Amino acid sequence: MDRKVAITLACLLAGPFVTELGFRLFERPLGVDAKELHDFRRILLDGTLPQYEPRAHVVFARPRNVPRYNSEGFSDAEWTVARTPGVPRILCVGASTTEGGNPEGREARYPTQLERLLERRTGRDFEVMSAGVAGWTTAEMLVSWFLTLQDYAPDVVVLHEAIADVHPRLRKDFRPDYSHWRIPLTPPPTNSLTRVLARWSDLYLYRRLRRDGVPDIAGLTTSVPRGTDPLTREGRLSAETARPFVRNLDSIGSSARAQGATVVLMSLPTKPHHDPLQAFWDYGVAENNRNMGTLAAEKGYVFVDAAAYFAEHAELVNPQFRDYVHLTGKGNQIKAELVADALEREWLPKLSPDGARPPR
Amino acid sequence: MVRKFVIGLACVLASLIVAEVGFRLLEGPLGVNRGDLRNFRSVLVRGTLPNFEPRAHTVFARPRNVSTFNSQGFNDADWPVARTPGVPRILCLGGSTTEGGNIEGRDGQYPQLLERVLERRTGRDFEVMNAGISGWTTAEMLVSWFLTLQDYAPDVVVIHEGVNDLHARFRKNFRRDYSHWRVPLRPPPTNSLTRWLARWSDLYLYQRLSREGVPDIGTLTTTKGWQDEPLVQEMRLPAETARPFVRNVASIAESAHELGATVVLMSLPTQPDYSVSNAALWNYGVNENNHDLAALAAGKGYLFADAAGYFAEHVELVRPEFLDYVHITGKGNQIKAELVADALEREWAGLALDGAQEPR
Repeated sequence: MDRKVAITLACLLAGPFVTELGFRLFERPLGVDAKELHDFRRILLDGTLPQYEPRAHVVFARPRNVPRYNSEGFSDAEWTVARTPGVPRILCVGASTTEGGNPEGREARYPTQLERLLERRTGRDFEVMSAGVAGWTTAEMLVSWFLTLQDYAPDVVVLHEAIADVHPRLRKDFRPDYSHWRIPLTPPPTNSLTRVLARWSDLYLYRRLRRDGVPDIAGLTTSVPRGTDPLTREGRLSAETARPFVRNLDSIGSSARAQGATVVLMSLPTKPHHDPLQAFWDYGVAENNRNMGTLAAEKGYVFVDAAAYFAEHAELVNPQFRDYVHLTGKGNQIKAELVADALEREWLPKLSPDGARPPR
Repeated sequence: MVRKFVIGLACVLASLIVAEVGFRLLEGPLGVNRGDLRNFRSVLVRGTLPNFEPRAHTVFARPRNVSTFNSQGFNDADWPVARTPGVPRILCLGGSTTEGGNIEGRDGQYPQLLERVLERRTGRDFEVMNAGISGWTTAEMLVSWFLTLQDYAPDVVVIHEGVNDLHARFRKNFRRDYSHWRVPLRPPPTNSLTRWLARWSDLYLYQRLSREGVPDIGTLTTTKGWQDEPLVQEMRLPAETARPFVRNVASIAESAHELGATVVLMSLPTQPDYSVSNAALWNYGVNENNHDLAALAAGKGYLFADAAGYFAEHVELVRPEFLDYVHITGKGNQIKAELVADALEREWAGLALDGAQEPR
């Protein structure tokens, strides 16, 4: 009797063990994405994604002082608050389209290319800081500006975002602070059993991923949908829900200008598509781009209309789109050229040559 | 064998139930604080305190539309964004000393008293909005101003905070965005068993409370176990860590001023005979903040209501009004209201009389 119980118990334990082992051996042939499993394991065990950490006020940022990220939690070299005399400082604030958005790394994003361009054109050294975090809306950009970035006293602030702010507009019960949609970083609920399984079993993670989908930073920091804005079905959005985007940009712009910085707003180019279900994205981004142009005209900010340039040169630029908004390094080179052109017209002539240094 | 086991189990369960029932019967005589038990139960089961809810950008606020809290999560009547013509709007922004800080409810808050004082003095209607949340530093006040409160377009903004920002300065590895100290609302770790026990057992909660102390919104939203700033032992603080307080207040004030509002900064009075071991440190920090508020007001032309100066000059009169280090009775708050009204009366002579309405 006891022997039978022991054998049954051993079989019960061995079954899952063998299945797990078999699954691990076949992960590669089955096309299982090891990174997705790793990320999902981190979420269930540590409560966050490996490349993000929860933060008060900005909700999330990059982890500090780990490879690729600086001590402020941005994907950039370390910044010093103290300025280098004679080296103008340009701060680029935005989301993934500022942080990078392609696998080519820092070299391919527009802020790094802007630094090179300005240095090549002027023969002097510039410091361009990339303060973009993938997934940020203008609300997080604003908070970061006021609580952190303004202390770096940049000479130029480039603001470039127009799509992340469309997400809260798709939800009904809209609030101007986006709190109907944005929530503190909340991992999926777990219990002791799910944590043990998440720690030891790839098969468990794979099954949950298949059922629940791949978690990303947006899913972890936004509320469960409680209905969409009724106008979304018509491919448009409520006009009043566009206001916080402009208000947030203007709050940053006004503050930066009061501190003596030149403010640049850059519109967001999008990949042309023919999907009628995505009409509200086109509608939202186009509205944000238009509002940026209007704000720049009203307040005397510099406006770089990258969206219009890309639309006018569709044949040239369309191959540079990696998805709806992210570009290859070559595409970002065009954005950098457009910002550099605007600065050359509006700002460089006013720049003092005193103490100018050759590029590093 | 089985019978013995069942009997043993029944005895254990029965003794636990008896202990729980006995404890509940004796809670009153034992002096158990039921409010503490309710709060701790809420923390362990719901992940937050009953009178607070986590928020993405301000970290925490009051629950919306519950009890005395309005739809924005402030302890005030509901606010319409639309202005009533002829009714000047005053926004009071701060921590617990604005929200209330005494048991007299809204009638004991200085903003409520300010509305009455102004109406009595002028014979016209005023709308005073109380945007204070216990525990907020100037960082949360700043975020709330830019993402929510500026939309209400107040004619006057009164900023009153001087103590909560000190907590961040007591910790070493200081960061100017307070992220070395402030974290997203994080309840203590739980598992299924602890949640079940917390739900059903007062005795379990009491045992844990005796060991861990009463959780409050401060401990739930700040890092644990970080070391003190070394200068704390000398009852002083590094001068550079005072800067974010001024920067945050200045950012709000500058934005309000640019939107056409009159800005009032009010210093924070403290209890004259505060006698805890580190009273000198608190006094050092609050005095420094009050001094910085005065300097900012003088430098930028904001109104300054020096409540700290007034209270220090009238020690005998105000001493009985202190409930603790910074919180005061309704009578004490009446003095603050009079001081703000005095400042407004001196400087606000140009207030248009057009459309003035009778006080409601």
